Formats: sequence, structure tokens, C-alpha cells
Amino acid sequence: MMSTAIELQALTKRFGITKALSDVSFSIRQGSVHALVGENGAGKSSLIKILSGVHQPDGGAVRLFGQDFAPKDSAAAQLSGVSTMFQESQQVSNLSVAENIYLGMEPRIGPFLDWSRLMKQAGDLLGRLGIEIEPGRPMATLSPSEAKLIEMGRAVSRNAKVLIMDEPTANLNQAEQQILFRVLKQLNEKEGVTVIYISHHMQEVFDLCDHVTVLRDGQHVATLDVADTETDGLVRLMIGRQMEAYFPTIAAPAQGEPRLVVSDLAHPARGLDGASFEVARGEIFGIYGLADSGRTALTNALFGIQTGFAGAVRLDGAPFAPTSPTAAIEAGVILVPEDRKLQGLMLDLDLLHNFSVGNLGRFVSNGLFEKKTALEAANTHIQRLRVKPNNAYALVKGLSGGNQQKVAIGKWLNRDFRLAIFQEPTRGIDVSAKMEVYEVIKSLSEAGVAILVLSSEVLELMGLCHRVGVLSGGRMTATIERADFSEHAIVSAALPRRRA
Amino acid sequence: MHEVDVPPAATKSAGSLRRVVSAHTEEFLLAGVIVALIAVGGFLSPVFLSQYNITSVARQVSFDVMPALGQLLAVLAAGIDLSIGAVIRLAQMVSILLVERVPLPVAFLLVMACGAAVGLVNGLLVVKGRLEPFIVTLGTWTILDGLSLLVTGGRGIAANVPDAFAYLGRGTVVGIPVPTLIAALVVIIMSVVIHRSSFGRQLFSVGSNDLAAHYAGIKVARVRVTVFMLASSLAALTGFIMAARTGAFQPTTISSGGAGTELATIAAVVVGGARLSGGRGTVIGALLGATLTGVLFSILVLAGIDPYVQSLILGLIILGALLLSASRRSKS
Ligand SMILES: Nc1ncnc2c1ncn2[C@@H]1O[C@H](COP(=O)(O)OP(=O)(O)OP(=O)(O)O)[C@@H](O)[C@H]1O
Ligand SMILES: [Mg+2]
Repeated sequence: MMSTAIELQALTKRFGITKALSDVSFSIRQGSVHALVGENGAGKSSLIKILSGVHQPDGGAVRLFGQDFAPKDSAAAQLSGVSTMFQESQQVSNLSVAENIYLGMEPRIGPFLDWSRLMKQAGDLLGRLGIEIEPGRPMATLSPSEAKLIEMGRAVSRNAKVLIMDEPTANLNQAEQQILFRVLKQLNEKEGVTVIYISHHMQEVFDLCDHVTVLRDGQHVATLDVADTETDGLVRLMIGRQMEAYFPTIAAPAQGEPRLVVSDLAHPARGLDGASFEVARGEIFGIYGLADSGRTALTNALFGIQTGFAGAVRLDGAPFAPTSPTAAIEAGVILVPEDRKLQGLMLDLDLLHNFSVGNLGRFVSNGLFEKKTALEAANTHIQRLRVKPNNAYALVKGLSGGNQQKVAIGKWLNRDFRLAIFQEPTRGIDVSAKMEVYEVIKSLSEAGVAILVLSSEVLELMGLCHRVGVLSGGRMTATIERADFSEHAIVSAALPRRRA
Repeated sequence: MHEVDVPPAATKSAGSLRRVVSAHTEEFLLAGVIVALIAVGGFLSPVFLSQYNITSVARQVSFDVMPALGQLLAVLAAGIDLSIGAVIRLAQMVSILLVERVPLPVAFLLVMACGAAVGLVNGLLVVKGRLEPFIVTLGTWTILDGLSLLVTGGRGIAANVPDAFAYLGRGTVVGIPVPTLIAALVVIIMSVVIHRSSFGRQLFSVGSNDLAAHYAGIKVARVRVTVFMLASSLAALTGFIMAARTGAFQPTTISSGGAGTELATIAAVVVGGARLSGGRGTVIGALLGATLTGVLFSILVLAGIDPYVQSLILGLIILGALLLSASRRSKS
């Protein structure tokens, strides 16, 4: 007989005029891995923030193992056995890995930190989870994916009975995802931990979870047994309509002179070792590469973030070596960066500001900023990209991840450009937002823009691109035509080369 | 799948009304506090509401408002300018030294050039030297005050100010002090620069997220340097007009409580709702903040409160305003 771990009763949460959750009721069985899916802004994070004590509901109640459960903060939630890996990282970067894991519950001798026991505990924990990271390393030196794994360690260290994971794989490569899945299975099967798993990847829902709850616009749509569903049905429930083809149909690009020619671009210290490739007008060129393949250096060179690269780049035939993002933008190159919060958005400012900032010049006459024109443009983008909320004065920090990504892209739609670089364009965004982003990329391509898509999702590159180049060890080890696409061909070309 | 759509017109008017009210509650609050303070002042002493006193408070507040707007610029760009008071004092000294020797416009331009030059140095040190604005401007503060002491030998200097110059500091137009008119002009210009110009947009972008601003093609370094130059220029303008009013310069103000000025500007912008970490603040807020602190001080003086107690109160105001803004942040 299965008992209930968590029962939600008519849970309601408002943010100002936005109703993030309205009357949501469903239960989660003890020992299950329960998926929570829905579009960006559906209310998934809001729901789990109530369970983890970050937010308090405006109505309704939660029962945890049959007891009333209304944690007033996250410490209280953890004491009751509910640990959460949040969508946004929660780390103290100037502390060590071990301190971050045990933050707030470090072993002590009297008033003093018991450093050696802390290190040992953290080392044991990481060892048990199979995470190979030194507990003494400063958090600031970790890659985003390593940091995610540490966050998992932290959640585990609290002896959770319920573990909540909000889009945990969003920043991880495949190997790291495997570690995460393994740890998840271990916790669930061996230790009986109940898991709530939020993801936009349907594959993960089917591979990992036994139940799934669909939210839409803050409402509970359905809670199903995963065995009784399939992807299309689930997606239909999420978006409330029939989904058309997932990827847009890509027309063949116009032939002619290539827009972008990169020859022997190199900077050994930054991991680029003579990369060469060409992108035609209107071509969508995917770039696949593992973490140290040189993909970041390539973007930095093309967008003027770093300088001093050897080799040559030509844009429409003219030499192109931008010394700053400003110079790159003026030459007609735009970048939708990997980390939208850090590099792409002004979170404390409103949509109007964020949309206009990609081309302030367009809204200026006589040195004055023409708010009315900027507002019109912002509203156009809000409609076109279906940004929620539909309000140019909303602050970007209140938007869900997918909607933030739309803003990060939308800010460039106020200007004309020749080359667009998309770094992980659909990270953390839902199916319909993905489709909308793909549509934007497609329409840019039809307008003759040369497009570089750097993604760690092979299927995305295969669905979207005309050609895919594979970076490995700082070189293009393969360039694959659409007709020859296969997951195997792309992934195997990306494996590190053995040096002769 | 979208939220129920309200007709666009309705959303617009209801939204903008709500926006105006919610965006300006703090300003209404500040204005209320100022009115209450004035009432208290009148209650404490009938002199407070006399024509003479009102004029002199208005003049004094003008000298607080102009540098506060300079501080606002620095704070909006996620910086701080501690050298503002020292630039005011330097400008006062230079004005007194020059005004008898060169024509007034030349003196004015030279004083403004001094201010702009200090700002340029501050800006370049922050941008090229990658130093914290706090450290850099603390350094210039000390250096400039040292310079003023050195040049004057620590003794007061005075000049026979020409009438035109004196008019800038002491004159009135239909009863309104000329410094107040100048400050009003500065407020108007600065609110256009900050809230209506393209530069203002860049300023908020840099203050809110400088990396994202850089990636959006904004010339972050240039914005920062411009901010420091504008802030110092406003300070120089203030010093010039203060010299016109007093006709003298007392370097002793440096050792005794002269440090009040930079803190008063910070108090003004923080009370006015600006956020020290950048990206949030308004001209009207800084104006009200400076007026509030200015009026409060004139009441303290009138009530015969010890000047040392005054700086104590200033510190309490800054802490109080910071606590208030911190609690507001945790609520939102
Ligand atoms: N702190 C906040 N302030 C204002 N509005 C908020 C806040 N947090 C969430 N919202 C709003 O509540 C709604 C639900 O957001 P939530 O973050 O729960 O979505 P989500 O399902 O997690 O989306 P995503 O898949 O993009 O992460 C959205 O409309 C969002 O804009
Ligand atoms: Mg979320």
C-alpha cells in the first residue's frame, strides 16, 4: 500500500496581479519520482518554492506525510525533510565546496568550525555520489555544471525525505547528466527518497519519472501515470493545443558568396587551434562541441569579447576583427549569450528598457530617448514572441526563464544584422517557447542573416541547422551536411582527438 | 493559452495610473515629510517662516541639491563619488583666487575645467586602473583637500568680488535667490539627461548590469568616465556659486566638519530612494532627499543644536534610509 508523501490542497499564489498558482490540488506518492511539467511561467517554480519555504501560499494548504506543512523559510522546510535544488544557483562563491554543501549546518567544536571533519564529511558524501570534485576547492573555480552537482550534494546532505529538483540538467553535459541521473536513482531506489522533478525535456520525464503533473497558466491540468502517456499527449496537455511540427521546415539557403569565412582562427591558450569554416547568407550553421572544444573562444573572437586571435575572419568579404562587442555590433554581428542573466539582461529594469537596449540609437532623436517609439517596438516584440506578462513595464526579474530568454533575443530585433550567434538558444525554455525561438531563427535565416547556433543538444542542431560543424580540440573536426546528419556522426566527431 | 486579455486601452490607462501611483508613493511620502518638517520649524520659531529665513534656506538647499544630483549620477552607474565635497572646496578656492584676476566667464570656465579634470582622473582610474570608485574618490578627496590647504597655507582667503559675480550668489529675482534658480535649471537639465536621454538609458543599463550592457554594445567605460566628469562638474559649479555668495574661502572648513558635504549628498540620494548598488534612483527623489536633509539642518541650526550632534543625525539618517531600502528589497 503506497502512502502519500505530499498532498496539495487548493494551493493559490499571487504575485501582484499575476496568479502564479490557482487552486492547485494533487498528491505525490511516497517513493515516487514525480515530474512537474508545463510551459514557461506555468507556475512550476512557484509551486516548489512554496514547498521549500521560500514563498508562502495565499490560499490552500500542504500536507507532508499526513501532517500540516507550512514552512516559514527554507531552513524550516529542510528540517522537515524537504530539500530543494533551485533553478537559480544558490551558492556562496567565496567559500569552499565543503562549506557550501554544509552551509548552516557545519560541524563545530564549540563555537569553531571543525574544518577537518567538514572536509572529511564532504569528501565522503561526494565520493558516495561519485562526484569527483575536491571538497576544499573554492566554489568560484567550479564550472556551472560542477556547481550544479555540488548543489545536488548539498540537497542530499540534508538527509532529505523529499528532494525537489528544478530543471537540474539545464547546464549539464551528457556525462554530468548521467552522474545526476545515477545519484537520483540511487537516492530514490536505495534510500526511498521521494523526488519532484521539473524539466522541459520530455525524454527525462519518460526515462526517470513514474508520475507526471501538468500545470498550465497556474492551473492543475492533469496528474498521470507516466506509463499511460506518450510525448505528444503530454505536450498537448502542456500547451493546450495540438503541436505542429517541432522544428520549422528549413529551406535550402541561398547560394552565393559566403557571409562569414573563418580561416585558421587560433589562440592556443584559449583552446582554439586553427578553426576554419564558412557560413553562407541565410545559412543556419550549427556548432557542436564539448566543454573544452574552443566554442567559447570562437564566440569571444567573433563578438569582440576577446582579442589577439591569429588567423583571419571575413564578413561579406571584408576583414573582420572586432575589438569590442560595440565594434562587432556595428559591423552587423549580434550575440544571444549563454548566460542570459549575467550577460544578456538587466534584471532590475523593465521589458521596455531591455528591448530597447539592443539598439538605443533607433529610439533617439536629438539626443532624447523616444519612449513612445520604444514602447511600440517593445509591444510588437512582446506580441511576436508571446512574452508573458504582456506588459512592457514588468521587470525582467519577475519573468520565467523562457520569457527571459525571449527578451534576450528580442532586444536584437530592433536592428539589422548580418551574422547572429546563438549560444544555447533554448536552454531552460519550454516546448512552445523553443518552437517560437526556432521560428525566429528561421525567419532571420530567410532574411539572409548568417546564423551560428552553438548548442550542446545534438537533436536541436539536427532539427534546426543546414549544416553542423563539430569542434574538438580547437578545430573543426567535421562538417556534416543535413542529409548526412546522425547523432552518432556528430557526437563521435566531438570526442577529444588523440594527439599525433 | 494566454491570460484573459483585457482590452488594450483599458490595460493602458489602468496600468499607467497604477504605475504613476506606485512609482511615486515614496516621493509623495518625502514631500509630506518635508511639509511636516517646515511646520515643525514654524512651530519651533516664528522666525523660521519669515521671508528672510525662507530665502536663506532655499539658497542653502540649492547648494545641497546640485552636488546631490552629481552623487545620483555616480550611484546610478553603480559607483559612488566621495570627492564631491573636496571638489566643491577646491572650486571655491580657485574661484576666489581667480575672480579678481581674470574676467568672470574665464574664471567660470577655468573652475569648471578643474572640476571636469578631477572627474576625468576619477573616471580613468576606475575604468583603466580597475579600481573601486570608493577607493579612488576617497583618494582624490584627500589629495584635493590637501591641495587646498597647501595653496592657502591653511588660512582663510577673501576677494573683492565683482558685482556680477556677487549677484550669482547673493542676488534674487522676484524674491527668488539666484542660486535657487540655477539649481532649478540644473534639476531640469539633469532630469532630461537622466530620464529622457539616450545617455540616461545607458547609465541605467550600466548600473543595473554592466556585463550585459557591454554585451549590448554600450560603451561602459565611456559612460563611467562621463558620469564622474558630470558629477565633479556639478560640484565645481556649486563651489563657484558658493564662492560668489561668501566672497571668501575658509580652509578650516576642511578640518572641521567639512566632510559633511559628501555624506550629505549620499544621504540625499539614499533618502530619495536610489539604490547604492546602481540602476535605481530618480532626480525628483534626489531633489526631495536633498531638500529634506537641507530643511532638517536649517531647523537644527535654528534650534541651536550642537554641530557635532548634526553630523550624528546625518549618519543616523543615512543608516535609516539604507535600512528602509533593504527592507523594501526583501519585500519585493
Ligand atoms: N518573484 C516574482 N515576482 C513576480 N512575479 C513572479 C515571481 N515569481 C514568479 N512570478 C510569475 O509567476 C508566474 C509563474 O512563474 P514560475 O517561475 O513559477 O514559472 P515556471 O513554471 O517555473 O517557468 P519556467 O519553466 O520558465 O521556469 C510567471 O508569470 C512569473 O512571471
Ligand atoms: Mg521555473
